[in-house]
Amino acid sequence: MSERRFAAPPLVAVVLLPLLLAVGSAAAQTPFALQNIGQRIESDDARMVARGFGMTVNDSLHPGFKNVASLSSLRHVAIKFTGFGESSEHEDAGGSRHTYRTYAPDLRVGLPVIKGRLGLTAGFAIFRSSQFQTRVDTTWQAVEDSIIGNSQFVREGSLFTVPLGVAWEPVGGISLGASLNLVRGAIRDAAADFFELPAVGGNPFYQPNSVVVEDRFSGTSATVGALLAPGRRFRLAASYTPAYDVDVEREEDLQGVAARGRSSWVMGMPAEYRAGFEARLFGRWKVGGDGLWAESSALSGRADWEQAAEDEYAWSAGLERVHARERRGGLKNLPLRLGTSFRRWAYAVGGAPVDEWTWAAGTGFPFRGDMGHLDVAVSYGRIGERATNGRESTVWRLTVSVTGLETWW
Amino acid sequence: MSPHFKVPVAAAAFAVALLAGCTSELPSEVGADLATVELDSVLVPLDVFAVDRYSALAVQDPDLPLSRQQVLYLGGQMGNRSSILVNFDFDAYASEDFPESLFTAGNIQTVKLSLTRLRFYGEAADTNAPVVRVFYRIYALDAPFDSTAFPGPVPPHDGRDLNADYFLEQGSLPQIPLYKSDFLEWIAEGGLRGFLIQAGAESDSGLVGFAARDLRRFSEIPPVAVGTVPAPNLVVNFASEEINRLIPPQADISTFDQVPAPPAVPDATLLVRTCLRQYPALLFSLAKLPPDVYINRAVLVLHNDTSRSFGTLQTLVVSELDTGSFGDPYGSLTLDSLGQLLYPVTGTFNNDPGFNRRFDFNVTASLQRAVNGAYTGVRGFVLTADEDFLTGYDTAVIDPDFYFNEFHFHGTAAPDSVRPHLLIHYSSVTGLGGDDDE
Repeated sequence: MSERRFAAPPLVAVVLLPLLLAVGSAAAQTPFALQNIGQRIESDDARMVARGFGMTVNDSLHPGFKNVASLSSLRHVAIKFTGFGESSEHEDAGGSRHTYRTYAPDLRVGLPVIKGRLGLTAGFAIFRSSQFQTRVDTTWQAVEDSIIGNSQFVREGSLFTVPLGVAWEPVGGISLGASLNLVRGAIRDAAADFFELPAVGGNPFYQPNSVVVEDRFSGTSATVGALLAPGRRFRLAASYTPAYDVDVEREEDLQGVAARGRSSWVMGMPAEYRAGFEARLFGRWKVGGDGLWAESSALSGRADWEQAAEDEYAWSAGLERVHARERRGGLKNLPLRLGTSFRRWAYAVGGAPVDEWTWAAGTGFPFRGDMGHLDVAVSYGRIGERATNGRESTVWRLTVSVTGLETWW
Repeated sequence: MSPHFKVPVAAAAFAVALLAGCTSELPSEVGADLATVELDSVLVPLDVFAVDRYSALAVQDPDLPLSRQQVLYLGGQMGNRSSILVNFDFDAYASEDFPESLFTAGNIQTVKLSLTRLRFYGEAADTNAPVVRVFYRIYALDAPFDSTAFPGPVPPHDGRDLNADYFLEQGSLPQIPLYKSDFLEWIAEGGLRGFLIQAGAESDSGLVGFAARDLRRFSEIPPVAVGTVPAPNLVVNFASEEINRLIPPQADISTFDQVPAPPAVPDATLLVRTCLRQYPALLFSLAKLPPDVYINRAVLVLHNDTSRSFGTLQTLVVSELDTGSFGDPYGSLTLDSLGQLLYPVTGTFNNDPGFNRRFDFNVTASLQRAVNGAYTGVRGFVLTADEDFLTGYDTAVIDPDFYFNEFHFHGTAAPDSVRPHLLIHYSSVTGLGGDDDE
């Protein structure tokens, strides 16, 4: 590959490496993710996060993967990686806790088959994530001993899709797309009791308890999308994912006990509807928004999840000043993005719906010859409310996306 | 990439790397009320007193018959009674250094029977055991003893005291005077002659160990003169010689003429005995233990009756033993076969039978294996001393055949506070052990 055609691979590696190394160390997100199906992770790249819209992307030099129909515009092989790091503060009746986390939820590839008309996509995208750990100092009373120790609980896991999609522009200004999504993942809940004292020789008298419940998910979903770009000033987009079933296999393991608990069931996942628009305002400025509605209250398969399920909906909107190429434009050439979003989670916590507000800003940097971009977004979000949910999380997040373009044929 | 873009790119990379390096605060109570998985029960106590099976296992070591043991026992304690038998060969009383011509009534000044008490039973006892005063009675047997007859009754003798001053206070190295005339008669007749050494009625109660001719653990006896063979010797003192003639025994043995059998039921006591090995085996009923639970702690609790137990510091080991090897209730095993049948679990060291009252044996892992159905048969627990094959516990140089120790643990009919029992704490979750497809 020539350096002229691809953006500085070593630099990309510099950005990706710390993210990749940190993926495994994802330590915490929010206590809200301790329940139900976990926190929604959108497959928005940093540009979409910052400006609040992404369904309508139709840019061959800066492709988006949120709407499968967007990929009909591909003219180069596109690789996009999105990761983020966040600093969160969580409060509830148990106090407060500050956590850090890095995460790499999205890796996508797009391949042009007929340049500007027909494209294929594949990738990996996490759409539900659960990760949090708790610890409570506890005492127990045994027959002859008062025991001091702690109880810990950790939930970790994710649901992800491997979307295999195709996008086609049958006529100018109208793109259609469809993807088959392999849905996989696992959520692991582990509870443990550590009996620290009394002890002898540094070893506890009482062996610690540990129970692990792991649900493994396997299913297939389909998504169809459309993008309407009647002119340069206005675009509309929509996608639809019908309800689908996910097979769930559960294994329950009590440490030290040979017997395992095994069960399986079918989880009914709700249909999802997405829509978006964008409009050019004046000069380099655009405005747009995305919306999501998922009939999550129809989630089925787990009674405890069903009880707390809520219809999930979200909207986001924002402005973008697109980047320019004026000579000596300096920072004025950089894109500027501002956005806000609201999400009602798919399940209630503490008996009340969980609402999440996010405010974001960002920019981006094109690689040489516009053969790729580095986009960054900084966002501040608030999840839940102490008054209604009994807890609240605030999240500062840095989202980084790297898009590389390559001409393979 | 143009140079002025490298700065923000590097900054972004640095920021991400920096964030990745941050460390979250340790988990706390935040979010704890949202935990979705927990154990259904934690540290549930279960005290198991019921014993399904019991066996009293007598263990013999064919390689070490009683006549080859290193210690001779004399006296009586807790129903056990033993005397010492010694055979001397009076055809071999003389030697190159002590020719027959020296053995005359005029030249012989004294004849004594020497014994060597083990340190533990001596006046410099290194435990809390009281020093046992022994007044020795010595008789001539009607015939030399046959070692295969013991343990067994004391052989017949004429009942005439052979020692000259019965009430002479003796210490750790008793030298019991004999009548010179008797000795001259013995050597005149020649041949093999047996003797019985008994503790007289005035002696303190107690089983006292003395060095046998096969003693090898010299650390267990007090210092003796160079060249002394620590065995029941005849010591002949001559007027003409500066040193005494020691006539070693041709054979020696403890009679153990009275050794109570362990009870056929474990109601009264569980007996652990060394020397003449006797080990108890128990199978507790686990009927009240739910299936598929996690054993946080299981302790075999035994209470030692210190008023009845006696002996030296002793390691005690709990092992698993298939109930197929249990007797009903008495069983008999060789030491080798016992070694092949046992699966050691845990042990305790330096247990003083006269002092340590409560014994907690951690059998957690063993019980978990039983819960998990890891065995093809049913295994109970057997309590033994630190036999050589129990490698993790055989830390002492003294083997269990050396000292005669007894631990009397309170039996199953004792009050709850001292009954043998398994004290179990377990935790559980529901739903283990079966497939449940919804």
